[in-house]
Amino acid sequence: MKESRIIKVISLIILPILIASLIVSILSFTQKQEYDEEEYFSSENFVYDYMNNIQMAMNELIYYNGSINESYLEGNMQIFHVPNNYCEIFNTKIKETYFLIIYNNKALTNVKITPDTDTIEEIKTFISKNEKTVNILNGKMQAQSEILQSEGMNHFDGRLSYYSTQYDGLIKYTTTTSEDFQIYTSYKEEFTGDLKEFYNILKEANKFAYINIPLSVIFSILIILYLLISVGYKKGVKGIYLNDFDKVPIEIIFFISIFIGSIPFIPLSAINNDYYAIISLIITSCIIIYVLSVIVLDTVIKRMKSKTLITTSIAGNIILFIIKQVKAIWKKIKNVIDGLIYSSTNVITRELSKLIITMCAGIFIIVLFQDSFITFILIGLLLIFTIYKWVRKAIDLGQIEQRLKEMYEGNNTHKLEQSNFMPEFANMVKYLNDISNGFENAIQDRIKSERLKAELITNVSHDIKTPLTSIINYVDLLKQENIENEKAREYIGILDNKSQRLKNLTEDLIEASKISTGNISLNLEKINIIELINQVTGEFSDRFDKKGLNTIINVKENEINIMADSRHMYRIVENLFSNISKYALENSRVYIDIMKQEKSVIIEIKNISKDKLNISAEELMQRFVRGDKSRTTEGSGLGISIAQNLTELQNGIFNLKLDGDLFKVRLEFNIV
Amino acid sequence: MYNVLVVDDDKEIVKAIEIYLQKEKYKIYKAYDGLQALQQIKENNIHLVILDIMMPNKDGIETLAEIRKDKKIPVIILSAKSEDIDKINGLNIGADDYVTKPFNPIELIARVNALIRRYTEFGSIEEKNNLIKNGDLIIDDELKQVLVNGKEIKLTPTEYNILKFLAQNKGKVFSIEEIYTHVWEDECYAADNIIAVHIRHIREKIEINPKEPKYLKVIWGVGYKIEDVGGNINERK
Repeated sequence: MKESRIIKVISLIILPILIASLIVSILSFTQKQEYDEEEYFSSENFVYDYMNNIQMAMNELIYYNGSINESYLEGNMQIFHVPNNYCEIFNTKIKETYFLIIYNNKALTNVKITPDTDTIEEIKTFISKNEKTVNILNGKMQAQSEILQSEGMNHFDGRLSYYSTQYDGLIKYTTTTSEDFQIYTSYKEEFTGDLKEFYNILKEANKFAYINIPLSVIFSILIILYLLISVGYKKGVKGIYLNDFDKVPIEIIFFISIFIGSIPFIPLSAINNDYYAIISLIITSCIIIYVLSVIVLDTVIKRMKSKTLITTSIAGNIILFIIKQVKAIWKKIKNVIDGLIYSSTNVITRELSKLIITMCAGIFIIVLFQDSFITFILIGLLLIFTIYKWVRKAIDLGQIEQRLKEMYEGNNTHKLEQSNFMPEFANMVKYLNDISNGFENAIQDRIKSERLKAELITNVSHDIKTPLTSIINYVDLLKQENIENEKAREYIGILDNKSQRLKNLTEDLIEASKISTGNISLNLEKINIIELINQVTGEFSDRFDKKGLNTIINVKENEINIMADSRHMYRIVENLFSNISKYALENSRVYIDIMKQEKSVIIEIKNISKDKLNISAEELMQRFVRGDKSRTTEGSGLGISIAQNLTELQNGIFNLKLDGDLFKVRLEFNIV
Repeated sequence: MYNVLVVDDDKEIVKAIEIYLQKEKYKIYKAYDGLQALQQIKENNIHLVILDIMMPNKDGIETLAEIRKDKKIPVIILSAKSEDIDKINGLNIGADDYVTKPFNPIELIARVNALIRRYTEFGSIEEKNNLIKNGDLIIDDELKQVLVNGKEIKLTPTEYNILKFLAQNKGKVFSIEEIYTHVWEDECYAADNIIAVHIRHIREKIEINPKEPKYLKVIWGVGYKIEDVGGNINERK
């Protein structure tokens, strides 16, 4: 941390030196005419300066501006004296400059009054003794300087016309021409001592300028870059480090800096012709401005880096406040509009208010701009906007309908993303998703509970089977024992019968639970329903014969094919036939009608019940319900339920009808 | 005297099976879990295993897989699991038969007898020209005689003709009508279940468990066929 601070301080010290040397080097190039004696005295600048000073003296002579020290009369000629330092260039730049200007019967000079120089002639002589003389006599230039000789009169005439324009109201002056003046001047072709020392610095600098300029430019840029990058970082502090100063409003800092920076310029106007004072003042103010700008720039860059420049400035805060207010107002307006359009739960109100707002906007535009081009553009935009909204609405509606269709078809996995829809549909989409979720959860719960139930039944059945095996086997072994006791033999018979029933019951239970949960495989193939009925009646012929049941099959075709699982189909018919063999009235007829329809085949099995059926068909189709409610007869009560479930599993229709003692089962399957 | 190993964790069931099989003159070895069973097989010359699936220590399927590593002895699985997938699984691992609990003792005995006979007899029946052979079902057309597991079966001439026709085309399914026209060489009426009745009778005579027939299979709604069960058990590699 200390090292980086030292580097920073050194950089900050070196930077102004580099910049100063750069400025001096540049000056040494551009101001060569000013500081080089040889160049200066043969340049236009010299002509300009010289003529300007003569002009000022002429001005003094004509208007008496107040610098005149003393005057006296020599004959009818009045001689005026001004202090030696009266003319700026003459006294601060060019060494030993003297002048005598005669205009009508007045004369002005800066030559000191001595006994040797108190007449015009003596002054003329004193002036002409100097190194170089310049005289304007009768409108003609007589100069020992080439450039003055060739250019001097042009400047002089230019000055005169300048003054005549400036003092237009003074008739006396406007008539003045160069021929009205007799001017005697002289000078040394040399700078005054003070300037010479200063100019020598520039002369020296000029020798190194070729190296100094590129070097100081490069180093300055490097140092500035380094300072710009390093500003605001402090070791141990993450991000930009800001102190209290960096939180002071930037405008206050600007104001104070400008105030402090301008203090050194206040005495500047009071100092006249003192080059040392001026230069030292300039240097002081430069240092002050430099320090101030370093401080200001440092905090500005820090604020920019930490993005607090706007928030720490008064103007920025005012702008932010205005933006915030505008936003708040806009939000309020929007809320009012949205409230009108969306908040209403009534779709009709909502749509109507939208229509009215659109129409109002249209009328407003027409009234405001009438039949101008703006109306055309705005109405066009309104139309485009309305169409765009309408198209989007149509797309959203299409998606919702598609989703409803999916739900109707039982697909609940896909969810609608509320953000993809217009705000008008937000509620609709939410309700739809909720319904879909509820639906899906209910289905999943149901599937889960059904599966658990099926598993439970299967497991319990397996557990029952093991002890049942022992019961059946030992009953069988008992039967084989030679038991004399008639009663014991009867009891064993009952045990045998009931244990066999228990065995059938558990098997049916497993089957029924498997079918009802759809936990069963379907192996669809082409099946001839007539062949099946024949096969099953063949299987049951003995049992039917025993009860005197006569089977009558009515069918016209030889072959009616359906797509079904042959084992499940057998199970359906077997269960129905098994019921008939158990519950049908003895010595009655069993009718099996097979009717081919256009697209389906109907199998109708009718028989007369042995007992009075005091139960509805719906109840009979439920699991564990039997025709006789006492449940004394054989059978599990699952036969019809299994048959129904298996039929529906194969896309068939299972119908049961009880009409008095007539027991009628109707199966319908699609034919191939 | 053949040695049968009965494996079941329910001791009463093992006892019951022992009683039945002792009557059939088998010597019974008992085991109550898979590890004991493997031990018994190692120590004794076992000719057949009756194996339960759900047992402690080592279940029936693992035990069977272990046995099959080096032994060809017939194994009957006796399980309360009655799903098709359980049966297929057991048979695939190498069981020769699958009987579900609660079982019919007579059926179990018949299956044991059949397997023992197959396991011990080495093609003792002479090769004849007019012999239709399908596993342990042999039809001798010269003597009009049917043998199942070596036992002669009494069939009526119609039943014999139907069985012969199906056995000659084993593996192929015939509808009632086709069987009718082939056997009677006559036209068939649509609603005629005579063939179906005959088939049931044949099944009851030749099958150990007619409800789960091994040879004469019913394809419901399509027809009947004699299942091609291939050769003798001893031909298995």
